Amino acid sequence: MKKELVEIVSEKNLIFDGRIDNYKVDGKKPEYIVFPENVKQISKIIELAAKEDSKIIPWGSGTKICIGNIPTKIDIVLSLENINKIIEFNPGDLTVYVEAGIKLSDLNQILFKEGLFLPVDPPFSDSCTIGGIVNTDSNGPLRQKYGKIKEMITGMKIMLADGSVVNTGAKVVKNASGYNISRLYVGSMGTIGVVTEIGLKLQPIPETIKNAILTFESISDFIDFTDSVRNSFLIPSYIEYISPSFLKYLSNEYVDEATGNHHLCLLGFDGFSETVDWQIEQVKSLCEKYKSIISSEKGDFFLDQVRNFRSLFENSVIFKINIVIPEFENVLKKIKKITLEYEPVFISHFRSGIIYVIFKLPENLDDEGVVDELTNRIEKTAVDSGGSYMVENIPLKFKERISVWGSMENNLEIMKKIKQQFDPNNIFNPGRFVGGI
Amino acid sequence: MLDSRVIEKLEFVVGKEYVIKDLNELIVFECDGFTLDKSAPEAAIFPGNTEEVSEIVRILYDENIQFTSRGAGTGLSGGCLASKGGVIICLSRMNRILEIDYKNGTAIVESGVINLQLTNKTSKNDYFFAPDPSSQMANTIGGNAATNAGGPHTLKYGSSINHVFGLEVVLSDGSIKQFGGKVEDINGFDLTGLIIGSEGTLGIITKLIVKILHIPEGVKTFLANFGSMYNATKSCSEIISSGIIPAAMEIIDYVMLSALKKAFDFEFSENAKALLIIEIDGIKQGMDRMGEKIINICNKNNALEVKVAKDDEERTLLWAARKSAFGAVGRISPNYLTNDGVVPRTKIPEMIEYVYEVGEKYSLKIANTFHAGDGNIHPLIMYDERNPDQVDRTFRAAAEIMKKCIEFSGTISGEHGIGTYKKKYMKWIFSENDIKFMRSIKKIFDPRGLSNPGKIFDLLSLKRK
Repeated sequence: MKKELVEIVSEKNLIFDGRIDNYKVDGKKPEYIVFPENVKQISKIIELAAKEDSKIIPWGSGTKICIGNIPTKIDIVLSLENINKIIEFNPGDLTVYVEAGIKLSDLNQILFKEGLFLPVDPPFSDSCTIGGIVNTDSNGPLRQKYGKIKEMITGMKIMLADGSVVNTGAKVVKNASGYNISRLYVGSMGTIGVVTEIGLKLQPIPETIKNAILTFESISDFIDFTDSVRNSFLIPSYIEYISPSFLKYLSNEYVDEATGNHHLCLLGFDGFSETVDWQIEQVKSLCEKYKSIISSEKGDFFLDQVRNFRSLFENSVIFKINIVIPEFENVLKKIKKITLEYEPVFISHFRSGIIYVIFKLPENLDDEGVVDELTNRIEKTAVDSGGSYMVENIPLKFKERISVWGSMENNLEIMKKIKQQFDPNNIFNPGRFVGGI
Repeated sequence: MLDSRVIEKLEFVVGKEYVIKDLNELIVFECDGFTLDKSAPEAAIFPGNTEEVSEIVRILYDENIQFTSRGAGTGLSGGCLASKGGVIICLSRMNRILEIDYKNGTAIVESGVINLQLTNKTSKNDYFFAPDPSSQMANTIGGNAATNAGGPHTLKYGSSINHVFGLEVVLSDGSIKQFGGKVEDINGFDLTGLIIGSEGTLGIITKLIVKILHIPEGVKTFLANFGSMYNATKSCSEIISSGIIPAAMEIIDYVMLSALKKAFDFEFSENAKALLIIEIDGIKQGMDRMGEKIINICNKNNALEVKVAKDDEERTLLWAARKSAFGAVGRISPNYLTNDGVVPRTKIPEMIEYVYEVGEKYSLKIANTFHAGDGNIHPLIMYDERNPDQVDRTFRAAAEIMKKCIEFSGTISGEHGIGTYKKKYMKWIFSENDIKFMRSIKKIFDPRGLSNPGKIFDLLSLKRK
C-alpha cells in the first residue's frame, strides 16, 4: 500500500518510519501517516483504504485523541495538517469558510485584524484545529454566553466513505433548506466521514473583556450566589466553579489567604466598558453577604488554569458529566463521597451544567474492579440526575475495561443504522464511538 | 377515502369526536399559508397525548397509509398539507406546558403549545421563549421546531434549532423516541439537531425540551426613515460591520408601508421609501452609547428621520404592525406569495434592488418586509389566483429571486422551510449526492416513506432502488 500512498500524496507527505510513534492512539500504532494537500487526495486515500480494507483515523492536531474508546484497528492516520487554508473570509457578513485543518489560533489571528473572532475557547485552543473542535464537539467556558460550536456552523463539505462529497448548508447565517446534515457531524468523532471544509459565523470582538475571582466558604453559598445572578439582569460570559482541591496543583503565588481553601467562582463579562464595569459593581454588591473576597488581578490566571487544566492531569481520570443545574450541589456532594479517597478536583462550566471530575488513581492499584465500580457509580449519579456522562481521559490499562461513553443504550439502533449507511465497511475510526460505532 | 375499518380503529383510539372524515370539514386542512398547492386529507385526527399518536401511527403503518403532522397550519411553504392524500395528524390538542424549570432555563412542552403562550406563562418570572415568528400568536412550538422557524429576533437569539435541547418523536412505525435531554451535551449523534427543520418527514414531534431565557434589563427600539431602500439596507450592513449585533433589524419598504397605513392607520413620512426598525436589548448601562452609534450610522446614510420608540406601548404597537405586515398585504391584494431567500448580509442592498427589477419585469407588485440583519428577505408577490397568467408570472418571478439568492452564495429558505413549494428548487442548491444523502437519512427513520410524504424532496430514487 505504501507505493499507492506515495503515488497519491508523494513521499514527502507520508510517514512510515519511527515517527509514527507520535501518532499512537491508545497505544495502537498506525502503519502510515498521510498528509494530503487537497480534497482530491483525501478522496483517493479513502478509496484506497476501502479497497484494502484499511482503517482511517482522521487527525487534526491530536489534542483530543484521548477521547473515545480504544479503536478496534488502525492503519492510516489521515492528517489534515496541510488542509488549512481560509477559503473565503467576508468580514462584513461576519462569516468565514475554512479548511478543517486550520488551527483555531491561526484563524483567530486573521479574524482579529478585522475586529472579529470565533467565540469558542475549547481545551488546547493554541494548537487544536477547527475540524477537531467540530468532530469532538469541543467547547469551553465561553459556551455559556456564545453557545456551542454547532451553533456557529453555516455549512460543511464532507468526504464520505465511498469517496464522494456532500455539501451542507450555505454561506449564510440563517437556513431552513433541507436537513441539518452539519449537526450530524458535530461530535460524530470522525466516524461517518471526513469533514474537509467548514463555514462559520463570527462575532465582533467586545470592546472590553474583564473577569473576577470570588471566594465562597461553602458550595451552598456559591449556589445561592449563582441564583441571585440568574435572577438579575447580569449577562456573564461564563460562571466557572473551581473546587478548593484544585488549588494545590497551582503555583503558590496565586494561592494565598484569599483564595486558599475556598470554593472559587470565576466570572467573566464582555461588552461595552461601562456595561462591563456596571456588572462587576453589581457582582460586588451581590456577594457582600457571603464574605466573598473579589480579586480581579488573578482572574486571567484562573481562566487559563480552567481552560488548560488537562495539562496538569495527564495520567489522571477525567470525567465530563452534564447535569441539570438544580442538581449541581447534590451531584457534587455524591461524587465527592464516591471518590473521596482520591481527593477529586471539580471544575465546572456552571451555566451549562458541565462538571469535570478529575482525580489520580494510585499507580499500584491492583484491584481493577475498583475502576469499574467508580465509573459505574459516577455514571449512575449523573444519569439519575437527568444528565449525561463520559470519561474523557483514563489510563490505558483501565480504559480497556470500560466504555468511555457509559452504558448508553438510548437510540443506539438508529445511530448504528446511520453508521452502517454512511460507512458500511467501517473504515473511519472503528470502535471509538458510542455502542462500538 | 379511507377504509371504514381503518376509520373505526382510529376512532377507537382517540374517540369519534376527534376524527374528522366529512369532506366539507376536511377542506380546512387542504393547505397552509402557501395557498397555491391544495390537497385535502382523507381524514384528520386529533390525538390527545403521545401514546395516542403512537397508536394512530402504528395503525397507519400496518395499513401502509401516509400521514402528515400539523400544528396550527401557519406554515408558508406547503409543509403540512396531505399532498399525497392520507391522514392529517393535528397536534393542537396536545397543548400542555408540562414543566418549567427556571433554574435550569428549560421548559418541557407538548408540541401543540402555542409559541406565545410559553412566553406569556414565563413572563411573570421575567423569562421568555426567544423564537418569535410573525405568527407566534397562533403557531405551535412543535411546528416551529419542525420548520426551524425564525423571526425578527433571530438576529441575536438564533433560530428554533438554537432553542431546543431535546425532543420526543413518534417514528413512522409508531415507536416513541427520546432525543437529547434537559442538558446540552448528549453522547452520540445529534439526532435532535437532525429532526429540527426536517419538516415532519422523519417523524412526529410530540414533546420538546426548550430553552427559556431571562428577559433583558432594557430594550430600545429605533425607527429610521430613508428616502431610498439602498440607504436603509446599507445602514444595516454598516451597523453589523461596526461590531453591533442588535436584537432585531427589520426593513419595511414603501409598498408594505402603504399597505400598513391602510390597515392600521400607520403614520409615516410621505417621502419614506424604506423604514428601518432597529432594536437593541441588554443591560441599560451602555445602551445610550450603542444607540448613538446606530443613529450616527443612519444619519450618515441620509436617513430622513431617526426616532426612538418612546415607551413600551409604542414599541409593542410597532412590532404588532411589523408582525401583521403579511396580513396587511392580504387587504390590498387577493393573494400573495411569501418568499424566504437568504443572502450574505452585505448583499442585501443589491438583492433588494434586484427584487424590484424582477417585479417590473413580470409586471407584478412586490412588497418587502424582511430580516435585514441576517440577510433573510421576504418578498411578498401579489397576485390574483383567478388570473392563471398572473399566477404563472408570480412563480417565475419567485424562482428568479431564489436563483439570484443562490448566485450570491445564499439559499432558498431561511426560516419557512421547503415544503412542497420549493422542492423543485432544491437541485439548485444541492447536488444529486447531497440530496441522496438526505434521502438515506429519511430511509433510516422512515423506511416506508409514510411520514409527511412529498415534502423537501421526492423519494423516487428510493423506490427505484
